[in-house]
Amino acid sequence: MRQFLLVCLIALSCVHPTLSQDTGKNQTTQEIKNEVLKVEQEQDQAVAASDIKTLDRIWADNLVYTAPNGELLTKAQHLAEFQSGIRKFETMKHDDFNVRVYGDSVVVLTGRSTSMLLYNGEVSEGPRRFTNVFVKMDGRWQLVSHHVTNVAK
Amino acid sequence: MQRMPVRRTLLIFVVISSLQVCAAWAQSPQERIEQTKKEVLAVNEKVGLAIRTGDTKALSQILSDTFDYTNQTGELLDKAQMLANIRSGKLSTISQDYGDYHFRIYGDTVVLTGISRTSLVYGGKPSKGPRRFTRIYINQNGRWLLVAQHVTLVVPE
Repeated sequence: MRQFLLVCLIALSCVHPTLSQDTGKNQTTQEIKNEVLKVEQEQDQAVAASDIKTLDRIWADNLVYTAPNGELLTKAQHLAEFQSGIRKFETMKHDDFNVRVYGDSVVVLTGRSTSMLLYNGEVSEGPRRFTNVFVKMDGRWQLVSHHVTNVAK
Repeated sequence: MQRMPVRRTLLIFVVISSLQVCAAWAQSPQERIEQTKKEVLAVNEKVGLAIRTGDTKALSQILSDTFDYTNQTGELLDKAQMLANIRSGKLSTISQDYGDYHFRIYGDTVVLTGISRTSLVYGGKPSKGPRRFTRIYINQNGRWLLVAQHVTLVVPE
């Protein structure tokens, strides 16, 4: 009887949604942080170079972007800004990263931006504060939310 | 007090877990999404109520210990600072109005965006918005916790 119950418990732990996690491989928090920081850096380089192909890969299909003026954009709308040149980065500087790891598939990354960019012909130098949310889907980290606020002077 | 035998305890656990598994399997993906939205909206309303009434005890139970809050002035605050602002009266809410909710659901993680037209006073300065907010909720051990919030004032066109 005891063995039967033990088998049941193990089986339930494997299938129960609140008990099981799709771990793939066991990673330490630091390893996850390093992975996401690498993706963040790759994204920053792609933003600076208006590299649409790379941004298309890193940004999740249902990315939601809240701009410093309060506009809410989809992935397609945000990519179109880089394609058309409406949004263009002259310099890229992100720092003061703070990375929070939740489980093995969600990361909330906050940081500060003093990048110089042109948006609709107007120059913006920041500083800004941003929150990025990365979710690991299909085995890779994808940006699902990007929200930016200008720091009041 | 009489102790329940180990075998019976395990049996009860197995039966309850089995029922939970069956309930989860019985839901279609769409039903699970709707259920998640309903649960998160309920928690989101609790957050609103706690902020509005200054109930830092209730708010403390929903904010994760690692809560990151970027407010509309670009300040980055942690849980303790957010609660202290409410306790001290630095942040006070006059009226509350949230709407235009959009959900992005990734398993046990929800990205909730919306518009706030809440009338508030922060550091002596009144503000009515509108603002765009993003709230990140994560289900941990069966409880939805607010792990991050980011707010931006909407610039009039």
